[in-house]
Amino acid sequence: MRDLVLYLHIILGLSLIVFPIIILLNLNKKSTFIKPLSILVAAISWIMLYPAAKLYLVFYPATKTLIKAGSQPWAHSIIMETKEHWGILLPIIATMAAGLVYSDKLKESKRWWILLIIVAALIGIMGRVITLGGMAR
Amino acid sequence: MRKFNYYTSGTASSLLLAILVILSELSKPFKTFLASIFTHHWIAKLVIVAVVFILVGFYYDQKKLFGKNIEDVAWYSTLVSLAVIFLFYIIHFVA
Repeated sequence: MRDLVLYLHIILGLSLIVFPIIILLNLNKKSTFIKPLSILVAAISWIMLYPAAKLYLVFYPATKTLIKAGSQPWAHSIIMETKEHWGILLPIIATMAAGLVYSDKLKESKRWWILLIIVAALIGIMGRVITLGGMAR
Repeated sequence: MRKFNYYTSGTASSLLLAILVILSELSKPFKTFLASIFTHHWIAKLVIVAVVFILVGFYYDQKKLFGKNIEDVAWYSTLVSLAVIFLFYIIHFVA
């Protein structure tokens, strides 16, 4: 069960990087698929909260105990705490970007898509750092 | 149907999240209170931020805030929120 939720979390997270890149590359061409893809990205960002919550609330506490007792407690206290709260901002950023596209404010949406890509990528890197923190003794 | 203002909603929700993060870490009773309502403080913050995002977007339509273009206010509010959360946890850990 844990692996299934984890893979779902990673796949949905990666889609929040890949899809916005596709949107950005086609923003100036005003392609017809931009609007539905933007809505899809916003929907994914909200749906992703389910596996995120499941991992954080059900499966992470055991890892948290290991990290805090180990040699890298900052991996939880700084990185995980930041990651879990930046994660709340992801759907806000994605919905704003999608909403601007849907309102035909394509140019204005550009920086929000870039921010979404950067934050999603940083959250992914933070996830890897936390995993390494859990393995450190 | 009311027009949704993404900029006011983004501004309010991102700043509120940073405030909730700091308050819940500095005040244990507040963190417990959040957890008691929504089973966990993280879920509480998520629900509150999402509700504020929706309500403010529908009911607070402004072109300017503090004399600044609302588009820029939303952008910088989000960046400030991201930075404040990260810096706060560094300071909280080191202190």
